[in-house]
Amino acid sequence: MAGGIRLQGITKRYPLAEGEIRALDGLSLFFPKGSFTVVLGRSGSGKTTLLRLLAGLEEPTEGRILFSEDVRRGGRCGDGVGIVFQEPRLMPWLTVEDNVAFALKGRLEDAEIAARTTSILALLGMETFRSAYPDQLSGGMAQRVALGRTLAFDPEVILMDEPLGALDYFTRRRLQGEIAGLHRETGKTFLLVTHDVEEALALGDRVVVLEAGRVTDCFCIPFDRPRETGCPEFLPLRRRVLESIAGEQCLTGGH
Amino acid sequence: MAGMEKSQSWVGAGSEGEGTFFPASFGLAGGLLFPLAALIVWWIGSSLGLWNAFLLPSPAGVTRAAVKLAASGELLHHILSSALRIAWGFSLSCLTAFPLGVLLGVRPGLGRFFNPTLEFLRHVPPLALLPMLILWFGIGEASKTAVIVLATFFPVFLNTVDGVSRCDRKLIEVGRTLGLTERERFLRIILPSSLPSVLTGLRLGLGYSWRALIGAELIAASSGLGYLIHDAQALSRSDVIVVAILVMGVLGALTDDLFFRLARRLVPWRGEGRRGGRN
Repeated sequence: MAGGIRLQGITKRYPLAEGEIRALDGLSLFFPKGSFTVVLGRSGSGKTTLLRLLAGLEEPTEGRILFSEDVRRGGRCGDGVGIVFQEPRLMPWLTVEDNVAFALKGRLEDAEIAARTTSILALLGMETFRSAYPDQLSGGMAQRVALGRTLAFDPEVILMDEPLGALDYFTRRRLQGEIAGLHRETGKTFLLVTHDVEEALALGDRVVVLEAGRVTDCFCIPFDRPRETGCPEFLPLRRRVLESIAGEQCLTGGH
Repeated sequence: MAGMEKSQSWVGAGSEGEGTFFPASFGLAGGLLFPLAALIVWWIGSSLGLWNAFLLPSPAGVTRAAVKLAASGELLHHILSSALRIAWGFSLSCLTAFPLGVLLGVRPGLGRFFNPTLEFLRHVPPLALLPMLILWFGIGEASKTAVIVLATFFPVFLNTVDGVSRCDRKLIEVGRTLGLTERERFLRIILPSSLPSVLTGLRLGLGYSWRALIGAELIAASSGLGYLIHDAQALSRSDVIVVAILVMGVLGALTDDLFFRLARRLVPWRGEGRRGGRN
């Protein structure tokens, strides 16, 4: 298999009191190594379920997830895949520095942990906050620390579950730039899920549209980053993506 | 369960402007305001003979009794007896309640085996068991230690169960995605996150231990602050009773303060250590 992650006929069902809910329905996708894929969809389309399956937090009801050798080292959950959740999920009893180093303790030498943590804090512009506790950080800073913790773990694949969803417009724009820069610098495989079309177009090499647990569309984004999604050449693409999600009727107000 | 066992806040201990009556700058002076006012009222009332000195002795009489007890070494002897019993009983209680609390917090399914028994014991006041404890353990130290264990077990146990079982599942998921083993997740996520709740349980338990101990010493002891009160009652020495009550209050407040300081060191992320709050 070419380097990356392949999903083959993935179905995920959750039992309910009466019947069941089908979060993913026979999903087949390939995420090439080093790519930046954005999965776009409305609430309840199955985006988060997809990430949870890829992170190993849940098992598919049907189908297989195949990791190429260079992606899934050792086969243990977390060895090759890291995830940044919608909320930072920092350990409140640890400082910024210790949160970033959280996954490294006991796995690397102290000197190596210190060096790696320092370089990641520098990369994220958080050196001055290294001794702060999570409740002393803004939402954007906390999300940056969460990203740093995942980067410190050094996974081959970085999954992001709407990590910027709770942030204000300006912080979101700045962090989008930082995420794009990290992808460029690290060459890792990024998979981000969002319901924000602008964010999808600003970050992805490819935008996959998910609806009711199925892939309904896929768009390649032929522009270099950093991107200004408001410029004229983006407008046709933006319209096609919006139509794909909301339908033409919704875009024209039903008239 | 432990939601019922909450630590009490002290009015006026918050920072300035946060809904408190007195500004934080009052500090210790603010805390001494009411005791000083009570002392003045007590002193004036005693001087004017507003009440019978047998019912409430004068501050001067209580001071004389305190000095005499302290000088003879009797007061220290009783304080040490009580403190030693608390140290033993509370340590034993922690050594049993904490591991059991962790076990039931991590494996809630085991609760169905333990809960009926524990619920039964929780609703039996330890002092009600004292006659039986004296029968089983004798009039010596063991029965009083048992009373303290019974009184302090549940605050420590219930708060430990609460802290462990309420650990944020989302943090545990983070541990899983970062490749932590089950043991590592317990030691590095569940245990630290439960620490504030455990410390609350320990603090409450320590307070309960004083109450239970004095009760036990009133009934069956030949030393300790409870015995001092019992003996003074028999001798109609209300001044000594007041001395013992004041000493108990001060010792209780001091041990609580010690625990607060310990908690501030152990859980700095809770904000108390950084902001000086106490709520």
